[in-house]
Amino acid sequence: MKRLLTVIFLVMIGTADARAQLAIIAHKTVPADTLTRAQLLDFYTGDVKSWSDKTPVVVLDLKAQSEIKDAFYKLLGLTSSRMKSIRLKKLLLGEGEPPEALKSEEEV
Amino acid sequence: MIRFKSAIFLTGLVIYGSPAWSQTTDTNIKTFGYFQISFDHQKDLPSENELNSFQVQQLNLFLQKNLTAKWTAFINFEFLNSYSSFRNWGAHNLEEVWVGFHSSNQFKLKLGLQVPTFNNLNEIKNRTPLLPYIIRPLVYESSFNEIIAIDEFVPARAFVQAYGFIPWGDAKIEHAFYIGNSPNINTDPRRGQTGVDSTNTFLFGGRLGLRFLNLKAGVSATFDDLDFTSLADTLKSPLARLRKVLRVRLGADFSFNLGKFSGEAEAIRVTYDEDHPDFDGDKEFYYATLGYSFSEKLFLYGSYWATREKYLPVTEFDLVVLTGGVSFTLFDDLVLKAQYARAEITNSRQPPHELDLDYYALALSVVF
Repeated sequence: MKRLLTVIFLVMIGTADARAQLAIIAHKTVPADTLTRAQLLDFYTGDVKSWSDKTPVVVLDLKAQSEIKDAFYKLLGLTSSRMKSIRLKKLLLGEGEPPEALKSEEEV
Repeated sequence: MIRFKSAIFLTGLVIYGSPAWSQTTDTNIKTFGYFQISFDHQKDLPSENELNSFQVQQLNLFLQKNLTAKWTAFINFEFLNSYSSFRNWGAHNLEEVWVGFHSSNQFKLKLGLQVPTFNNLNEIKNRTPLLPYIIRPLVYESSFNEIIAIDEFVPARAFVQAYGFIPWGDAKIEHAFYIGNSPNINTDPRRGQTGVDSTNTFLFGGRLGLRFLNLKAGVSATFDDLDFTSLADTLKSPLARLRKVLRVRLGADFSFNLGKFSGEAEAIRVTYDEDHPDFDGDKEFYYATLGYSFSEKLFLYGSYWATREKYLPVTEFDLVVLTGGVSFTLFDDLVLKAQYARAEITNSRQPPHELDLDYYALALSVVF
């Protein structure tokens, strides 16, 4: 039986003082109740490719530069260029490929 | 009050999914690579000799295939300095041919010809898109092979490497251990098959490091034996009684990213376990780079490099380089680079010999 696709997505909510907050919403089948910033960083840099139960994690990203993308990378403690450099290093060392980058938020 | 501006699906972390979504079961052969083309201008001082040259500094072609979800095959062909067999220019190498096994993050294995982990730069020294430099820190720059014995400083090749990282809270303990051939590779077809180790000794080495967010530090070491037997016989020198000499390389590395600033530094010391009065081949290398990202596209850096080598007869050879440069990312796959370097070379033999060199370079780095 196929498992349901499980999606965690980020929601950017603007506050009254124009300071954006990021929230991470997960489907109930995700085998984790909480995620630390370090764990998110591991998923997005490709250091960790599976959940604790060995289920693979597939990361999707946005192709175009955007305020949302920059804010998320800032949350992870990286600039966009630094993230690209980390992923390129993995690719050129044969350690993994960059995540699939989709053209728009709607496509994601 | 929180105003709801937009609900945006930035990313999806998908568990399982159809094979079309899976990034670990694609078994097609992937072909990719990069090249760097450059223009450089050199001026020797005080002779005032100058030269200009365009060249294809480097081209690397990769083939990669995921054999299964855990096994990967990887091949790296390398072409240097406008390679042409017709014109006898440059060089080409079979740089890497290995199969990798990913058991877990704690344990991965590479079997086959590979560039071993040593300090920060050894693994990526020839990955020009990853480096802001056009000419790289001395012992990592293949074109300096005529000035510096770069293979003495860093291990060029290994054949079995176990590596990975062990989570430690939010940090990671990185480890890598490898085995390869000794440096005594036969290059004379009259003495038998070339490219094979002519002794029964090995290269052993490894690196232990700590990575925490944007900080990384580590120590590295290699151990191998240099066989002087054939060399001593050929030279008929007082070193004739030397046979195998243990060579030890010790390295330390540190790197960080802090806001717009980034930096990296390394030290390498090479020692030979031999008390012969006419033999002293100890060597040292240091470098430190500080960089600043003015924007996502513009990066500026300054760097200091230094080597000290001892040769026979007892001579000290010092090379100090001050360099700086800029890289501009036109778009993800194309980076423009510019670099200036001032090299000061001092040779302690009598009479002392000094040489200064000014070096200017422009380059285009392309990933495809």
